[in-house]
Amino acid sequence: MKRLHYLHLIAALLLIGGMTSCNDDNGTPTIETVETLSGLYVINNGNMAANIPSSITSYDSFTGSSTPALQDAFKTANGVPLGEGAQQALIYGSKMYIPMHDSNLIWVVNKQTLKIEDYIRPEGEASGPRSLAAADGKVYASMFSGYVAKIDTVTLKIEKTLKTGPNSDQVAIANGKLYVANSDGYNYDGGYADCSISVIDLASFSESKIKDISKVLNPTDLATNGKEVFVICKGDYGEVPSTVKKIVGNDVVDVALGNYMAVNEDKLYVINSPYGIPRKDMGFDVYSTITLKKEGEIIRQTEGSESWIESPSGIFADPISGDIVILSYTLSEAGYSQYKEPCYANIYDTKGNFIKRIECGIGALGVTFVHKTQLK
Amino acid sequence: MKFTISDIFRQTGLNLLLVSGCLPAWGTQPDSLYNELKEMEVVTNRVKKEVTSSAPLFHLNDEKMKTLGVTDLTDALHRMPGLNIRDYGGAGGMKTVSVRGFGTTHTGVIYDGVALSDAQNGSIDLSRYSLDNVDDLSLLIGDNNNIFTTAKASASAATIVINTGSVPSPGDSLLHLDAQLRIGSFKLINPYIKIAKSLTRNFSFAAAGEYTYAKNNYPYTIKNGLHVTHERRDNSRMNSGHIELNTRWRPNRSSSLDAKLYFYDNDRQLPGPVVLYNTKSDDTLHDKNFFGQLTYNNSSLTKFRFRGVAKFNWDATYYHEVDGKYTGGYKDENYLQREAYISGAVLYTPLENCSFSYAADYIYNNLSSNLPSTVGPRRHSILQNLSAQFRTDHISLTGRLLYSVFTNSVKKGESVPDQSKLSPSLNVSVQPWRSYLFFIRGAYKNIFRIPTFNESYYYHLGSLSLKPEETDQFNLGLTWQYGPKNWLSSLTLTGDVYYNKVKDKIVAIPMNMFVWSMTNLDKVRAFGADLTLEGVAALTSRQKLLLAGNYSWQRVQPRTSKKDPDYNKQVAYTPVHSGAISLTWQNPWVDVVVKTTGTGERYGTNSNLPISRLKGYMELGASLMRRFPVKRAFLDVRLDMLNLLDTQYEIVAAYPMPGRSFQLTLGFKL
Repeated sequence: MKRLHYLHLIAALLLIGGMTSCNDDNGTPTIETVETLSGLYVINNGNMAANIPSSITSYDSFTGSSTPALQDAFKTANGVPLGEGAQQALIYGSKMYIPMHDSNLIWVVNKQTLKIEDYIRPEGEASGPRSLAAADGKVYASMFSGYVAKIDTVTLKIEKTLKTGPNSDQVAIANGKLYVANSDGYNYDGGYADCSISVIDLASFSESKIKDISKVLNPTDLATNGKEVFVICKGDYGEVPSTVKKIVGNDVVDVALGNYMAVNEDKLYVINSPYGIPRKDMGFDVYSTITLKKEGEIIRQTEGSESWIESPSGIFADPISGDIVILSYTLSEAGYSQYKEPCYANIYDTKGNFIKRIECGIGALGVTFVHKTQLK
Repeated sequence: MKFTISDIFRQTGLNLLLVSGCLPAWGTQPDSLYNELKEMEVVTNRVKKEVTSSAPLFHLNDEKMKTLGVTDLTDALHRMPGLNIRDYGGAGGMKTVSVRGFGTTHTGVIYDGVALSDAQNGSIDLSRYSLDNVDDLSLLIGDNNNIFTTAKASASAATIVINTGSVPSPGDSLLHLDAQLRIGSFKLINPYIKIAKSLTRNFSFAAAGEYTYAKNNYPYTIKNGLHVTHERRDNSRMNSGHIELNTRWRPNRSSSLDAKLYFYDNDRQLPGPVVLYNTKSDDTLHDKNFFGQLTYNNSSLTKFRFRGVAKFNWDATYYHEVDGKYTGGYKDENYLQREAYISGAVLYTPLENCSFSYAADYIYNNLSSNLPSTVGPRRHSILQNLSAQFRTDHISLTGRLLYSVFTNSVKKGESVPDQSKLSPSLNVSVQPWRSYLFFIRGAYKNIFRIPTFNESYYYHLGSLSLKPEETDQFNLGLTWQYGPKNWLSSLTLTGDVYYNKVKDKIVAIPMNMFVWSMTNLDKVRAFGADLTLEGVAALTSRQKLLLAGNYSWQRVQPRTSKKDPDYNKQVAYTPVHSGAISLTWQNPWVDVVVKTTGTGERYGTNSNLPISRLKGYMELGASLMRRFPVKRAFLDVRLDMLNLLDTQYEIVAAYPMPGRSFQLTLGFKL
């Protein structure tokens, strides 16, 4: 099962060949680089009640090897456990930033070796880092207590915080603006009354809000291709279903029912697998980010084979290779997701062909793609 | 001397039906409890009820607890086999008990003759009850030999029976005073006082009060891979008190009316789980509990005895969590539970070796809360119990049928459908040889638990379609009491093997981070063995050695589906091996007790993932005690050393238990 490895080598070679010939035509040979997918990290949330901390599963595309199931690549690299409450990580420059919601810190590690370089400890009211986005030498972290923190990547200090919440969840950056999904998720008893999407101008670090619970109810996830921004409003887990919406100015436009999404270029991948619906009724669909029209199925999956996704817990698309990764829980015989059992990550190519399955840790929630810049 | 079952009952001088394992009824007996206790102690020296009981019964009275160096209720329960205590650590930590692989919601607690209830959560937090006022404590697995009980008393798979608040007998005109002060590590201070007196020839009372303050900021060590950090348990303060008044009125020889008023208040901080790299917690929990109960007994007809019980219980919990994730930076959850309870029971003894009992209980429970999503659930329960018992010289046979009906309603919204159940049980005990106190016992019990209010109605979590969780238990045991012979004053051995089944086990299925849902999913099978040993040896006329130990082996296996990864593994947080042993040296100078409690490894997941493993532990403790007679009173001095080796362990993941600590207790008894 080393198809991904070969595919990427071939892709890289073709690309290099093409560029070389280009340069030959110009007659001015210059040193050019090419970025390729070299691997990925799966961020596993763990399960505190079951005595399982968060962990990282590391996968190397070139060798096809991954961290043995239930081993923590972070602990292997550093000798200390990752902590509690990891949901995703962000690579920016040579570093990877891992926000730890329950441990209330952001690890700063080497993106290749996972060795700890430093950590950022939020102090005061802005606490519980959840999600990250980066631009222009700054990393922006949402804090689940309802803030966004601006972190300087040189000093690794929180420069500024801005009240956005309650329950600021995922963040995304597009067109010089930082979007923050404030779910008000802990106010389920009060109907998520204070939920909103913050739109923050990065230059001035000033905020405006999209706030209309008839349109934006319980927003949690954000995804962007750098131009367009999409949000998942989880609804109320009852009458209002989880819906993917496109943010247009200070308004939102419905795209489709869905509870997981990813965006790559002009493709929006949507999984619709709300709790309780039969597996056959789950949707794995591709939409155009522009027309918002359905274009087909994301992946080809055959029941009973490794390509089959049992109980999705996330979808991610690599902007460089176009590969798609879908995380999934396993199902018990009675058909329930097993939240205390190892998850798996399935890799598919742009066309949706199954490439590989990776065994992950408990509660796999996030995928971070690792790219290597190679000299030609 | 030869003993038979019926001899034993005749010897006690009590009604034959009330003796073996009759503890639940004690607090409500018409005869003077003091006298009964004395009598029972005499009996205990002869034939222990642990030996004659046809279902596993383990018993400790206050004197015995002292002899064994028992320090608190959890420690007392550790001296009994088959128990798995969920302990969140320290004086303020919640403590719930599961027995032989059944969940904590299957363990009933009977406090002074009436079952405690928590309709919201289903399990009783035993950290609320201090040992100072406890006269005796027993654990009953399966059904009671005493058939003259309330119907609710037989409605659990296993029952912990706590009796407190004994009052002096009418003839006793002396003032009884019991005053005690305990101080200990981590700023523990715990004064206790009890005054008891007979005011007239037929009216006596006992009043007790107790207060506990503990900072509980005990140190603990966490090993984080390469890093070892030393931390302190912060936000762990306990501030708790309880007062109670017990009275007994005996208008004549054949009837009595007992009344009890009880108030408890505990304002505690909750230290929360130890999250790696983040130990912050600001949560607090304030519990208040009030109840009043009346028990009327009548034995004026020779072949009949009657009992009536009434109780009103009011229970409030105020939970306050400080966390920026909540709007306003905090969350308040307040819950109020009320229970009204009445029970009537009649015992009919047409022949000396044959008796029947019928009991009917009506229970009303409701729950209200400050949460907008609360539906205001209420439940009416009618439990009826019909029992028959037959005894000959060699055989005791007890059969029971419990019929339960539950009617549910809610203030708003939809309620759980009404439910009813019929639950049988059968116990038998055989004494094959007249000359040996050797008994063979067998028991079967079928019982269930109804879904709790939280399981049925909690916002999104609850499911209205839940069925009761059903259990079957089979027990086979041998008991033997030997002695006195030469230097051996007594030797008691009990050994039981069991096979239990749980079906329609109620489990939570998470839908996502915020929303979980309850469903009847799992099947569990448990089998195991419980052993106890107690030996007393007289070294000299004034020196005694007492050895007491128990060991449990239990395999509690998820059996939902063969294809599941947890099939036939061990249910999470259940040790395969556990046990305790204590050695007491009684002498004229200073009594010494050395004891140890041990638990094997456990896993955080049902499939026993190696990464979720919690290591086993042994905790060693010791106590030194001396009693000084002062005229007609006694002065007691006692030093307890807990966890002497400073063993670092957790019972619940992320809740470290206290290390080494000390307690000094001064007592005055009049």
